[in-house]
Amino acid sequence: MFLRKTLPLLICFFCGVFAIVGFFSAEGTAINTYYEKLAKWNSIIAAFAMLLGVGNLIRVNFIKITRNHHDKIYCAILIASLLITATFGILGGVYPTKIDPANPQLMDFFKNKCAYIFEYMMKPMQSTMFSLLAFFVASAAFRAFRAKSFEATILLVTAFIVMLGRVPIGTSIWPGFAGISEWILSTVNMAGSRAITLGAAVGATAACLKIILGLETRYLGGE
Amino acid sequence: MGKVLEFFKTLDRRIIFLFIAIAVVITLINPMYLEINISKNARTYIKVLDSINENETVIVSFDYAASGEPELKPMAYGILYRLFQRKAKVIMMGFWDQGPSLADNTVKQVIERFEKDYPDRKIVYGKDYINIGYKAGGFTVIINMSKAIKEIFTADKDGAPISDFEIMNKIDKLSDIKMVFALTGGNNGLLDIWLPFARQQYGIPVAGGCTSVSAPQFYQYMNSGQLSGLLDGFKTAAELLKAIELPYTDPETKKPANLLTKEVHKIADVQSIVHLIIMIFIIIGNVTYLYEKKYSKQQ
Repeated sequence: MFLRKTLPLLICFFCGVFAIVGFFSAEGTAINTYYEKLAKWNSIIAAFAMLLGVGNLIRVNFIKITRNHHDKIYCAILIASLLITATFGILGGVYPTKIDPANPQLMDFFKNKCAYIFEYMMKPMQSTMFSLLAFFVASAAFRAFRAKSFEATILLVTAFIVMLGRVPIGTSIWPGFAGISEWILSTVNMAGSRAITLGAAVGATAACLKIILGLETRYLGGE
Repeated sequence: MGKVLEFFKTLDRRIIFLFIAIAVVITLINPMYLEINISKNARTYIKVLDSINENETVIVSFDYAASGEPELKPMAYGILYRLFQRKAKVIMMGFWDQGPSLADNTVKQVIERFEKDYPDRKIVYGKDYINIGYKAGGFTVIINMSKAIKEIFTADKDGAPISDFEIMNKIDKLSDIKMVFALTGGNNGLLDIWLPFARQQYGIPVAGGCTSVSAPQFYQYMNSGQLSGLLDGFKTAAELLKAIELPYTDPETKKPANLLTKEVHKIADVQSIVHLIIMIFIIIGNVTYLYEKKYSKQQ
């Protein structure tokens, strides 16, 4: 019980309080110095979190393969891609300084392979995924963007003006679209966006306080 | 009329996809080269870039992945080119793991173009610019950079110690940086790292660049003065490229040349046409809806 719940809660409480006080304390003070040390720990934890993520990804997908899940082929591709890319990336990255600085050919081999994977596989695949958005947005807009009420009509008209103002063809039709679009984004949108941001920030502060004070414990797992 | 109404009501989404695809291909093959006018945001950005003087060091943060590159790379291109024109020192880095690799590709192209435009200038790695790579940890990296950059970034992207490079001689901490240009493709970048920590906590001016889809959330920071400048999507990136004048005259237009290439023009045209098609489909959808409403009332 102590190790599973009380100790993590205590660590969370002290780190949370320390981070808040450290953030607002003047530079050069003892608490600010330790706050910066805490930040360094966070960087280390973040690096380990990445390892944890990779480990978890392999575990979850490996289980699916062993249990003959219908997506097992994709799981296998994912694990193979991960391992191949990581091998070339790690060896190409650490090789020059850590293993054998006198052998540049081998270093170049790993580096080039990693760059090849990135340039000719990763980049086109990610760009393709993102480009598909244009198709889905068009389809979704056709089905969902209806002037069903007065508010929806205002939204529709505003969207049309902004859409025209954000592309050269809009200003070719009427130069005023750019100005109105800019005004909508920097005045009307800004007011709404700021209200949402402030509201969300207050909500996030409350949620963080609940975690720091131990009132919210779901992050420890279980109920 | 009922049949037409029914057709549009049950329109297969693949027809919409087909229209978009045809429009994109036709525009790419036969571009219109629509006029690109320089907006207020792009003009502000140029002023921000021009506030950087010779030998002043700036950070350009590539916080995006390949998916954001079509919109953000033209921004990075323009920013780097202008900074080299200003003879500034550039430190490139990224809070996204793919960022520094994308930075390498972009800077290579910028240097190739720059050295053609300015044959008397040579841009040297380690002297004029450096790529210090990716670092996990988000805002805590900024906190550590405020104390000692060389402690948190010990080596450049390729593993060479950064202390060996001339560009880092006068740089110890974040306060030695004149300005940060953060190009962001989503979370973990401008909004949650550079603005609250580099700008708010340590007072380093920050100018940003983002994709069109995420732009609305950034205007509030422009209005409050927390963001020195904002490139909000591909359109302003193209405008920035147009605003950057080159040291010679364009043989076609007989006007001072700029960085706006035909390729960028083509993409802007494609964006225009896709926006138009989406609008036409929205209009069709609404006409169908309103007609159906009226028709059902009559019955």
